[in-house]
Amino acid sequence: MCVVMNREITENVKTPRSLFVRFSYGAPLGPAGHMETHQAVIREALDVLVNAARPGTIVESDVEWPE
Amino acid sequence: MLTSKLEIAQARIREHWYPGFAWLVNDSAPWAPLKKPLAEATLALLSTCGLYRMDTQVPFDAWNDLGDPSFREINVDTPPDRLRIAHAHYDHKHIAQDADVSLPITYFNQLVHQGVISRLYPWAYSFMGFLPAPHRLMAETAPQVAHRLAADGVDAAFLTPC
Repeated sequence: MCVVMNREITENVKTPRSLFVRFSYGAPLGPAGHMETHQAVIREALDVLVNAARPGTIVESDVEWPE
Repeated sequence: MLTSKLEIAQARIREHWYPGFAWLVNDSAPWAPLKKPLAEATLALLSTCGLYRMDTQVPFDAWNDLGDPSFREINVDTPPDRLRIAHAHYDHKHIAQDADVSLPITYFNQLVHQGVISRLYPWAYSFMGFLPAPHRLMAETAPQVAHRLAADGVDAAFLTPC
């Protein structure tokens, strides 16, 4: 199960299950100290792990970078 | 199929770091079904953010133009103040303050306590994600980690990139 920040690279590499987050490199789960954001991303990623039905699944995260 | 954005990035990496660089393009994705409910599963954490133990391990070769295909094995009980970053290609400000941004050990321990997962594998595996020449990673070091995890009964890996 991969959290990914670059959808184009992921589509070419074809990882088995990926959650695409619109965060920058260096903050794959969100900002430092913002555990609610980290937890939300991880919960989504675990949903993808359990529910992805086919190889190469990429799900776009609903979690936004907090203000 | 590379987009124009990736083609531009590929040309830049060839010019500045490694003339032989090419984005990896696979025809298909590998697949290993999760064979048990999450609540019965052992999960392992992996990261490519370049973390290492400053007291017992040597840093990754962060300034090598070809990258560094090695890995560091980090016990999940390691105090966060023992961790450092060796990776020259991203902004360290979040992970340097809070290693859980890269290796979310605190929350995965909570998930064990809550019964969401059965067990957090006691070793996290750290790589350095700048790797224009990934051949040794693909042939040796990544399979070595995969075999260790499979042999030790890990059911799934959670990977964060940098």
